[in-house]
Amino acid sequence: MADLEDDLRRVLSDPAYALPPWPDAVERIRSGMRRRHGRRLLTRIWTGTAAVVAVLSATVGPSLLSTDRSAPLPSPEVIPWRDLPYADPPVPSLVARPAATTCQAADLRLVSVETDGAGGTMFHTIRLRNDGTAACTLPGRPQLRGTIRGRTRTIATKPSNRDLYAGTVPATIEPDEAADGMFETYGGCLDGRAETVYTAIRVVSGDGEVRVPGEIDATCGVGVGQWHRFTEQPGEEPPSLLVTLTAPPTARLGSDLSFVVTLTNPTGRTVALDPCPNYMMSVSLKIVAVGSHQLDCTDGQGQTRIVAAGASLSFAMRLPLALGEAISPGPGQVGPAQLTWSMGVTSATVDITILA
Amino acid sequence: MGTARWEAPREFDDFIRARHAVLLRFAHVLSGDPHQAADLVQDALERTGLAWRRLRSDDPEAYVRRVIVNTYINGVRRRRRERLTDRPPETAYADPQTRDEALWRLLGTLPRRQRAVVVLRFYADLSERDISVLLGCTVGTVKSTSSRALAKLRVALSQPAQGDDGRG
Repeated sequence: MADLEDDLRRVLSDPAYALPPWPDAVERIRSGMRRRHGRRLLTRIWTGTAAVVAVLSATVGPSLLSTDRSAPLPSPEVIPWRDLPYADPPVPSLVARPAATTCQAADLRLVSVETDGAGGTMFHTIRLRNDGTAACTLPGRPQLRGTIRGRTRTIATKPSNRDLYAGTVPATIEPDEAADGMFETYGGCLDGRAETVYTAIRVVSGDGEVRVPGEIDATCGVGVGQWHRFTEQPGEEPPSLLVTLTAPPTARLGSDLSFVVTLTNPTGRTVALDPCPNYMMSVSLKIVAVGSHQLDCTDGQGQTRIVAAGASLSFAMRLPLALGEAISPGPGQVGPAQLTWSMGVTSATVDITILA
Repeated sequence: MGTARWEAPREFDDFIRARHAVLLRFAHVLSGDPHQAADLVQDALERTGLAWRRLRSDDPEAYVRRVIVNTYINGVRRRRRERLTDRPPETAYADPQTRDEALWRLLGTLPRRQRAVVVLRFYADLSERDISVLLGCTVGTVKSTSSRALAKLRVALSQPAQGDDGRG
């Protein structure tokens, strides 16, 4: 027995089974996250507005990936390049509200159910809006009911505590405000227990229930977090801006790649760059150059820049094309490559050629 | 907190750079296949990035490993991707030359759950209790799964080499 265990330790730790690191690891993962996020947006359940979401996705999506070869390189109108470090978005400062009367199910409307997470652990967030006429509170943690084997039962749960913004509990919400309740399901239990899957899910509140689409696999347990007031998350990019890249067709390895990013506001209202978004830019070939920065959101007078309705704002960018420390020099350093610039879910990519 | 933030902060980029190679190796010994390992790590890191804000108070690497293991175990139903390659098959048709090569090949014959337990025990060096927490099962189940896996390997290693077609 001991010999076999020793053999297993030796074989499994054999350096021969190490895989080469990805030179473009960050961009590779970030790109996947953007695709995944896009899919999540498309599959998000917006009660009563699904058709609107679908139309917007279909019409706006392609325009986010525009590039422009004919536009001029940096001009006096272009905001000069500033190397501003990436800044974590500010945490909102919220004042906790006192508990009000418990929200009645008849006054609550399901806004969305989002699911993400691991193959084993899945996070589900239920968002309910107060459609009543007065403030109310969703107390404690979501109480879930579901149907299994023809009977409706309360789903057994255990508390699961996650990081919440201060001041969002108790989940006291004014009319038209929303609250989130998160629950987790787990996977991978190997003890041969029977599957426990609930359908016809309901959230209990006050004297009634709110129906929630989907099912809950409670085989390996269900954890529930506290109800908390929904707050717009800081640091999201201005949602309506379109990105256009103007980049030279070639760039030389070892030099700075200078290009221009133009943010266009296609909406009928002004978009202020506040909170100031971060962005990421990268060149991927067999080398990779990556920069994460905060946008230059204030002018020389300290005023927040705005993108007026129908107008554009251009920013000069600079990305050093030096080899990263972890990247080995090799013949693949030059040749066709892609320059990508992304700000939240908005991004643009243009082909360039890296020269020696 | 609300919904998951897809826009993970810069520390997530640092985490990717620092740990992805280690995770690739873990996924490789778990799955036995470098391409599947890359898929597992890619998938796990994307999910981790989307959940980063919820996870940063936890141990993100443990979370990634849990995603990798659970995705691997539950991956039977996943659609297989075909890959074009200019390389010939590496080990599928090769006779093992050493006991180590034979053992590596035999690991690929174990059911996924058994292989996962073996890798977590003898590569990741987790205790049976830690494995049970990671897999969401009892310690007894880990013990029995490990025992069955080791027994199968031991029997297989004691057999004469199979598939000797006289080439060698």
